[in-house]
Amino acid sequence: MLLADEYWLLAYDDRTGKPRVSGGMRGLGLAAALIGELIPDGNVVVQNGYLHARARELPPDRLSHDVLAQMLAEPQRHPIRAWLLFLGRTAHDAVAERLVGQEILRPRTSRKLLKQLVTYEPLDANRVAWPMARLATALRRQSPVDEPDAVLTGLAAATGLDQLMLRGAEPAAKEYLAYVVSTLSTPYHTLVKHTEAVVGDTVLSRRV
Amino acid sequence: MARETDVSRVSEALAADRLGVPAVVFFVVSAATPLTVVAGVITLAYAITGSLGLPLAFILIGLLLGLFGVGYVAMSRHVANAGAFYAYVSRGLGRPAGVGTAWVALIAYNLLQVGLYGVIGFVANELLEWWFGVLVPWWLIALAAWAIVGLLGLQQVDINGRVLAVLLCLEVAVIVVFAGASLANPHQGTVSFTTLDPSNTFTAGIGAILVLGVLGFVGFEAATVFSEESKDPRRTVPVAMYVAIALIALLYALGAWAMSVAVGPENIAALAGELEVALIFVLAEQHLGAFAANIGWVLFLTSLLAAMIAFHNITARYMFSLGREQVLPAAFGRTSYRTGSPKVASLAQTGIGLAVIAIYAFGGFDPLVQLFFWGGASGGLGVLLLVTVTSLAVLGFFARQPAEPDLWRHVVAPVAATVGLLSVVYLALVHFDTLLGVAADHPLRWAVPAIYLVVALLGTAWGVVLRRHRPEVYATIGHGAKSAAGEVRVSAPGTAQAELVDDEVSR
Repeated sequence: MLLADEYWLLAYDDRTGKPRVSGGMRGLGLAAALIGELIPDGNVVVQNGYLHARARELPPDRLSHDVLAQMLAEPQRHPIRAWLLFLGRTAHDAVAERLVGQEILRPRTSRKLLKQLVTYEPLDANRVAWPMARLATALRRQSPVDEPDAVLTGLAAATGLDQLMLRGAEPAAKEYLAYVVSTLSTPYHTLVKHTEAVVGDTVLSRRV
Repeated sequence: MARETDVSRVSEALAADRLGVPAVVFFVVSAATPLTVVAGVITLAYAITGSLGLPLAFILIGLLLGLFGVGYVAMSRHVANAGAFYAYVSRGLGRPAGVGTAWVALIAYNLLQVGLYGVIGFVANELLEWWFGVLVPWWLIALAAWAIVGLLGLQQVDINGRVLAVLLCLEVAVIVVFAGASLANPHQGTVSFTTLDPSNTFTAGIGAILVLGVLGFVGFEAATVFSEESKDPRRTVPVAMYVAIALIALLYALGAWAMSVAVGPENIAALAGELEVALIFVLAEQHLGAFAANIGWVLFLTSLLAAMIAFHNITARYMFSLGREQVLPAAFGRTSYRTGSPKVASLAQTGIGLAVIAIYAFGGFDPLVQLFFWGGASGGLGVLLLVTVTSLAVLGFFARQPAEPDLWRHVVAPVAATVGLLSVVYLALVHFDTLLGVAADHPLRWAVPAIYLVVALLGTAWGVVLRRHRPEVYATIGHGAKSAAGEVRVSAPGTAQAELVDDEVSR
């Protein structure tokens, strides 16, 4: 399963499909995950806080492909921060659509006053709950975590989800989480840390 | 997808979310909470200091802060955590001094915030008795306000922007209309300009009223928080800041002058002492009728509540950014994933509020003078010290920049502001007994400045400890939330030339 899909499943309740994470932070987490999907194939390089896109190997996934196309179409390079904010605006619907396509979620339209609301209900409870269960168990047992899961853990922690993931766990699990994040390779580590920084800045500059 | 790409969609999309001058002005003026200052601070200032120089003091401080703002805004482009004084001090005078500044800021903002529990308790207590004949102890009301503030703080609800904007406009309208009515009904038929006479400002109590002047402007420093989110970082924030400072100065000067015209300068101190915060509402009742006065009272209460929430959030975010830097325990930097609020910092702030209300309730202290006014005056002194140290930091920072200095922004204005601010600090310390309204040998008179000094020294020492024992934490002091990214640039996306925030860190 792709990174942003798994982040989505962490950020939404596995039974009700309601968001666990507040809107802005969720968008940033999803955006970071979408960027993260482009790193393994070398389509995106993270350097000095800037994101450099190059068409190495076109990603098979359509959303991933669209994100890369957007990056390539830009006349200039932008800081990671700008990409997180930019992609965070639309990541929600885009990733939801991808999960609907995989028949993991089902859209449901409801009316609230005059507004039409689309929520996404989980179709397969086991698949939906799996990422949270898997990471929570791995961190508690301190068992080895592969790189994709380490990235997911990092993004979860950057958006505060570690509190949910480690609820009631021993302090050792928390230390292990920090260790897992610290072992990330440079591009992922940079991505996670920048996500954490932008999340912090949105807390600080919350408009009155 | 492939399209003509001269225009950056990223820059365009993000620019649409950016703030213009009016939005930032609104933010700054609402953080200054004008009606709280005019009805609460100015009346008590007349009563306690007995000085007639108040209206001009606001103008003087406004000019001085405007001068300070020149270098402050110029430097903000080089500072990662641009809304917080200590970040400037970290870069301009060294990180240990930055930690000392941060600790002083925590105390000063806290004093301002908890002081408001005293005034809302006092005012609501009187109003409930007067309107409905019910007697509710002040601390019970303070606790109710405390609960509201604590809950909203956890929800990261900064009161809806539109609600705040409407309230602010109404507050400003009340101040202007009440002042107009006072000027139209002068004492003994003639409008007196005594309180605008400079000879009344430059008297023995000048230090006291200048601190109160600074108190009225608290919140202006946060304008730079929006550098990254403003439409044109080089223009929006400075223009908004000057406009806001000018507006605040004129509004307060008008409010303070009009009061003295209506009752006569010779009577203002005695009458303000008797009526306290009721003064402007009693005047409004005489001039405009009970209905207008009651509207004023209600807005005063909402203004106080808004001020409490604003200061709660300012303080909590200060703790949050220090937690993110790990200068305070990292737990303070924790965000609630559900609401995006700085959870632990907000709870800590709520705990402090409860402790203070409890101490004042059990100790039987006066909520208005001993909590609100002393808290405000002491917090105002703290903010004055912060502004002054930051002004020195601006000088220090630009002195070490290799680039050819912009003479006005980097040298002349900061030097003039620093000299002015140091003089105000000197006068404030000399006249601090007048400000508190206590005898010259009262212990508080030196205790408050001494606490700031001790805390600043302890904080600085802690900074030195960090340098030796936790260099990775030391390296990002002053970076706020961006400390997570270690090496970080600040610049608006789309402006091709990004500046390195802290070259020392990136090496």
